[in-house]
Formats: sequence, C-alpha cells, structure tokens
Amino acid sequence: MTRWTPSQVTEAAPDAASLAAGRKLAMPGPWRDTGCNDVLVWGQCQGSGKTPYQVSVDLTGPAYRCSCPSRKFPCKHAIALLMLWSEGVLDESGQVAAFAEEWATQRADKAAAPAKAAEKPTDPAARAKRIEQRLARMDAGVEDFRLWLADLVRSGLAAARAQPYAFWDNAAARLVDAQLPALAERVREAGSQIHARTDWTEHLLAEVGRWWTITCAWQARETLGVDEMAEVRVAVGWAQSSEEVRDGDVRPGPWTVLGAHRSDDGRLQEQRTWLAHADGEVVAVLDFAGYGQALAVPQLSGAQLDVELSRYPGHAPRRALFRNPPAGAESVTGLPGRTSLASVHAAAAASLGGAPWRDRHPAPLADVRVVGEGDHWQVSDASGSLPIMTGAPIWTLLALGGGAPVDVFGEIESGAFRPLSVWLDDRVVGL
Amino acid sequence: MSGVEQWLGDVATAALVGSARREPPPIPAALGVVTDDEGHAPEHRLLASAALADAVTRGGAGLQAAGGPTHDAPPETREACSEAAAQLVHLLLLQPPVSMATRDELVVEWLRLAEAAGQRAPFAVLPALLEFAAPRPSVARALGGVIGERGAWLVGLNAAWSATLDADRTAPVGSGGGDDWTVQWSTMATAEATAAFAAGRRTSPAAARALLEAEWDTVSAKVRGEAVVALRHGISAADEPLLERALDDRAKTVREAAAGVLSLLPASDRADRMAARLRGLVRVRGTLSRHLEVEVPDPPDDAAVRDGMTPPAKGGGPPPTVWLAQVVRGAPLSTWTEITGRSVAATLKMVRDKDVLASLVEAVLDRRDAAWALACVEHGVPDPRLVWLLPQEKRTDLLVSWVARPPAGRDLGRLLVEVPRPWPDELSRVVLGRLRGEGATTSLARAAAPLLPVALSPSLAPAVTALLEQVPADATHLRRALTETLQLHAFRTSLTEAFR
Repeated sequence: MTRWTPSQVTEAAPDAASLAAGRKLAMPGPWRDTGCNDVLVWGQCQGSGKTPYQVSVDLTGPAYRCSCPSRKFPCKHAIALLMLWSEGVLDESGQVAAFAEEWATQRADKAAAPAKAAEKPTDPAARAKRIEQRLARMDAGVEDFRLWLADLVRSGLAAARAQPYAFWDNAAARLVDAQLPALAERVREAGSQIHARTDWTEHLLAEVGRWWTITCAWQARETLGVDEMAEVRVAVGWAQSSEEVRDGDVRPGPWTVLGAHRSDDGRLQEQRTWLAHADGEVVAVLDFAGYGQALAVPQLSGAQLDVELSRYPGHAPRRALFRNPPAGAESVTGLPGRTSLASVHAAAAASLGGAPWRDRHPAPLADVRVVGEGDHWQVSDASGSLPIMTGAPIWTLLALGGGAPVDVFGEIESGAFRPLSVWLDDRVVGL
Repeated sequence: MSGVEQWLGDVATAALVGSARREPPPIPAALGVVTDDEGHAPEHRLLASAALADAVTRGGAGLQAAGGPTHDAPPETREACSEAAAQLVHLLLLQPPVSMATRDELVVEWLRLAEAAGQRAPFAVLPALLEFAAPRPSVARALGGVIGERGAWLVGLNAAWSATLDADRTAPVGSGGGDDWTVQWSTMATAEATAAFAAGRRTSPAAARALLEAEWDTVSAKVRGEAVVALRHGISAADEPLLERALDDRAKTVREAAAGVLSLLPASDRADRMAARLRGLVRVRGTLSRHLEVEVPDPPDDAAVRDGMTPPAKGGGPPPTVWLAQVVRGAPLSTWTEITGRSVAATLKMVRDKDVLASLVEAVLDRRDAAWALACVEHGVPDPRLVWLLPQEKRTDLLVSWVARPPAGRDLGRLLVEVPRPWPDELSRVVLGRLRGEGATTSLARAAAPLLPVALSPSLAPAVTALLEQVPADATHLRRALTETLQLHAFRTSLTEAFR
C-alpha cells in the first residue's frame, strides 16, 4: 500500500478537533511497539491512564480500532499514528503486534462470513420468487404514488404548500415501504425545500414533473434497454449490489482524478470522486459512510491512478467503483477533456435525453475567468457564463487564478457551477 | 418561441391552482412532441406537461452572456515563500498546534519573518490569511507586503476585508513623508483632521506645530483641543508659546487640554508659576526637620485658573484638596528637593500626607522621571506603572528580587503580564525556580503559567523540560503550559528555519 500523504491523513480525520489532538500526539514520545506492513499500521500510545491504548489501522478499508473510549472514528490516537506512518518514521520490518494481528484476523473472518453465505447454492426458484415479490411491491407503490401525484396537481401546488411537513413525510414513508427509497428521499427533500426557497413554485413543479417521468419510465420498463433500466433503478433506489458490478464492466487505468466533493447531511456522508480516462470517458466513484464512520480516503485531484474501475450500467457519466485499491499516484497537470462552457452546457442538456431526472454533469472547463462581485460570481469564457454555486470556495478560486483564465474542473448542478479543482501550470489544487 | 414561453407560464398557473380549476394548456406543436393526450384525465396531462416543461426549461436554457472583463491581478514582485514556510502558515491558520492565544503571535511572527525575507505568502493560503487578519488588528498591521499583489487585489474585491484591512494596512495620512495633508488639513472633517494631525505630529513635530499655529483661528474648537492633546507626542520647549496661547483660548476644552500638556514640560513658565504656588504651601517641620507640612491652597485667582486650576464657585466649589493636587501635579519635581535640600529618596520619606504622595506619583508618571520613579518604588509605592519607568536592568533586578521573595501589596501576576517578551533570562530562571514542587499551585503559578509559552526564550528549553518532570501530576494547568512552551519553541525553530 502506498504511504498516505499528510493531506490524505488530514482528510481522514472526522473533525478539526480530532485532527488538532492527533497532531499533538504525533511525536514519538508517547508511542511504543509501533510498526507497519502493507495493510496494517499499529502502535501503543501512552495516554493519561496506566494501560497504553492499543491502536491498529487497516489501510485497505480503511478501518480503525483503538482501545480508547473515544467515539470518534478514527480517534486522535489513530490519526496521530497515521501521521507518524505518513512521515515514514514507523518500522516496516517488525513482527505484527499481537493485538493488531488478532483484530485483523477477526476482521478477515467477518469479511469472509457473508461471502460464505453468498456462496451457498441459492435456489434459483426461490430467488426468482423474491424478485417477483419485490417487483410486485414496487409496482403497487408506484401506482399508489401516481394517484398521490394526480391528487396533488388536481388540487394545486398552492394548496400543497399549506400542508404540514407530515403530508410529505407520510408519502415518503409509503414509498420507503414499497422499497422505493430514492423516490422517497426526493419527496422528503421537496417537502423541506417548499418553505426554504423563494422560487418554490418553479422548483416543486419541476420536481413533480421528474417524479412523474420516473413513474412512467418504471411502468414502461419492459421496453427499456439495459442502460435505461439501470438509470430507472437508480432513480427509484433499487440498488445494484457492488458484487454484481465488481466483475462486470471492468476498465483498466490509468484514471486521472478530476476532483472530489464531500457532503454531509447529518445522517449520511457522501464522497463523490470524478475520474477521467485517456479517451475522455468520465465516471464518478461514490463512497458513503454513516454517522461516526470514516469515509474512504480521498484521492488527490490530478493524481493518475493505476487502478481498474468497474462501471455500473447506465448513461454517461457512469457510476463506478474501484475494483482494487488505487495505487501508484503519478500526477498530471493537464485537465483531461478540457473544453468550453458552451460545449459542457450542451452536453449536460443532451444527457437529459437519457435520464431527464438527473441533474448533475461533470464540467472540465478550459481557460475560464471568475468574474463578479459581492455574493454573485460566475465562471466565464468566450462562449458565455454560468453562475457559481453559493457556498463555493470563491476566494480560493480567485486567489489561485488572479483573474486570469485558468482551467477549472467542477460540476454543473441545477444550472449552477460547483468548482472542485483548479488546474495550474505546475500543480492541481483540490477545493 | 413565445408560444412555448406562454405555454410554460400556463402550465405553471394550472399547476398552482390545480387541474380541477384550470384546464392544462395543450402542448404547443412547436415542441414536436407526439402525444395521445386525448383520452387522459386532466391531472395526468398536467403531470406530463410538468415533466416536459422541466426538460424543455433545463435542456433549452442558454448560458448567460460572457461576463465583462475584470482587471487581472498585477504580476508579483516578490518570491513566494518556501514550501516549508507555506505549510507552517497553513497549519497555523487551519489546524493550530498551539492554543488560540499564542496562535495570533505566531502568525504575526510568520508575517514578520516573511516580510524580513522579502517573500510573500502563497496564493492558496491568502483567503484563510486575510479572513484571519480582518478581525485582528495586530495581525492586520503585520500583513505588510507579505500578501503580495494578489492579496491586495483580493482585498479590493472583498468588501468585508477591505473595510478592516485597508484601514490598518495603508499608512495613515501624512506619514508618507509628503506634506500633502498640511494643505487640506484646515478643510478636513473633524475625525479625519484629528487623525491626520496626530499622525503628522509623530513624523514631524515641528511642522505639525507650525501648521497648528497658522491655522489656529480657522479650525474648530474640537479640532484645536484634539490637536493640543496630540502635542504630547514629541513635546519640547518649542511647543510652549503655542500652549501658553492655548491657555487663553475661548473653549474650555482647549484650555484644559493645554494645561494638561503643559504639565509634561517641567521647565515651562507655567511650571514655574506652579512651583511658586507650591513653595508657599510646603514647610519643613519637626525637631529634626524630618517631615514636610503641606497646607491646602487658597481658592485660585484668575492667573491660577488660567493655568488650569478649577475655578472656585459660590457655595459648591471643589474641596481645597483638589487645588492642592493640581498644584502638586503642575509644579516641577525639583521644587521638592529645592525646598528640603535633600536627596529625592530622603525628600519622599518626609512626605507624610497620603493624598500629597498620590499626586506626587501622578506628577512622576507625567514627567516619566526615572530617578523619582525608582525612589517611589523603593519607598514602597505599589503603583505598577512606576515600574515601567525604570531603566530595564534595574527593573529586571527588582522583578527578580520580588519573584524570589514576593513583597506584600504587589500584584506580581499583573506585573509579569506587562514585562516585555521574551523575558530576560534571569527573570525566566527565577520564575521557573519558584514553580518547582509546592510552587506549582501558588497564585504566582496560576498567573505565570499562561505567559510561559510566549515569555520564555527558546534557550531555556532544557530548564523547562527539567521542570516538567518535577511538577506534580495534579498541577494540570502548569503541565499544559510547560508542554505548550516546548511545542511552541519547536514550532518557532521550524519557523526560523523555513525562512533561512
């Protein structure tokens, strides 16, 4: 496993406080019995108590384990240990400490258990029956949702706005029961946006239209191709298991990391990493982590990863997953597929044809300026300009570019641009 | 396309009021959509229209026109700092390894080192640096040229930053060496004129005085008063004629200000007049001539009022002790030794009246007289301000002796806060010595602990390490302070190395 860079360690920390605490512990003083090999890093840290804390990190997960009572993952001890490792001061030759080995074995056993279960010869008839039951429940749920939508527009959106949040929440709960979680999420989100936005009528009307399209697509699924059906499955929330995908449509590297975005809605953290292949294919790798869990280590923008990606079915840009842990990070400074705003915008519009409910498109922009003032900024080139999303790190963008044209990678979402990385002559800076 | 736009509007209206009340509009042929609308219920047609409208709106949206040209940031004249230095400031700003209190000082130190090396902060760190400096005047003042052309350009774009930073960064009017401010001074607004005069007085006292003399009758009383107060800086005998003139000013505030400033000039005519008043009040008494008897003065006459003494009023005038205090503060200190014919220390011993002594101490502070200050301190006057008038060596000696054996009635903690940092080694060592063992929980330890990280010079690291081993485990605040001291020293070392 390649040693992490200090900034990768930084990214792994759950919050700034843990990071600061970890940094203070990242000196050899309190540590003993430290060591590392390809997959494990371990050590014992003397805390305030009598017994030192036993810390182990599995780099492949990554997964963390520490005998301290902290409920943060990773805790400050694990962060400090990773910092020491990243500085290259840990012994790589020694015997794995007993506590680390024991933990690693437990993890390996646990990981093997479900695999064993999966290997059990499944009864094809039983499996077909399960799918049939699920489809029946989803069909009924979609039909029920269509009735609810028809009621909604019959009485009008103005009336819907007067409804309490429970109105939306109940509809969402019924969708969850019908195993349509992604639709449910959209309905809940709309229910909270309706009072948060000034343009709620336009927003809600558009959302309702997309929900309707999704239900129509679902009901017509017999007529859809594989990729179209995959998009519909994403839209309703019928996940494709990663086991199914892993050995499916594999494409070897090198893949260049374009940029990454992290979001946290309080319950779920999401990390979206955009990657490009030499021929211009762009995919997104999604990682999720629940509250208190650690997201996968972010890849640095501009890194060229020697890794195989397994692509999910669907329209471009497709979702993908790392088939093996990414390794060998050479970095490049040329933004792959760099192009004008107009052509990115046109591509985003064209992609609506395949999945009209999708609303995010990668945007590798060549030579754009950042213009504007106050709270209103745009990316701009000769072909036009696009507003930059509020909350984007506009000042870092300006500081790096200095007003001159610069290559920027980002996403277009709801008609606005979210910058994710800046591609300078000599380096790439993730935002 | 106006047909389509009309249709989009109609769909929105129908959806808002509901298809039960408003028939959904037919899809315009211009969109080329094949529908079998006829047999469907209105709400289904409305839903299909909503879906189509969304796709049309998003797919058909154009880009906004290309943004207007902006001015680019000018090219940099300075080299960027080293990678190591960049990492250090990044660390300080985003994940400080030290307590918040010492972080500001370290950022300032980083800026000073960069300024001294003629380097600039890297572009990527500028937003965090400016955001950090904006609400902190001490940091803002240290920015100097370190933010480079790019930083100045960013400040110009960000109203929140330019509001606070431009005021602190740009040199005050008149300090640039030019005399421009003198030309417009008489026409400036009060606040601006006051600030300009204060700045001008600091750089060129004589020119400022000449200007005030020339414009005396044209500027407002408010400006005259503030300007007279500003004469404190760089005061000399040459200012006396102007101040004498100010004593006759129409405005009371100006007269009072002039009297106050004249107190700072021990050789002035006013001081002589005050000395004459004082001589009339003080007598050497006692069989061994060992004490001074001080009488309260009569109500001041017009000449005394002109010199700044409070005028008597019928019925409710000030108590005579107020006049006495004014005379004591106004007279030169030498008047006292002339009256007694003895040394400063001996003279002080003869002053028995507490109020007179207090006024005398104020006079010493006004004049910044080191000899008198030393005599007062040795006499046991606890006023900490006197300590700062002493020559540095003398002051260190005193502090060292006080730390070793704390005198009653002195707040050592407060004194230590004000000692310029880093502390002299001698003082550091005696403080560390007092913190050992039992000393770890004294009030001195509580007062000194937060100061240690910034006050101890790095050469004392071995002493700090040694002390840390002797501090009891339960003296957590002291342990933390000592640990932070060591961390800070390590950080400082890497700072200096990064700019080598």
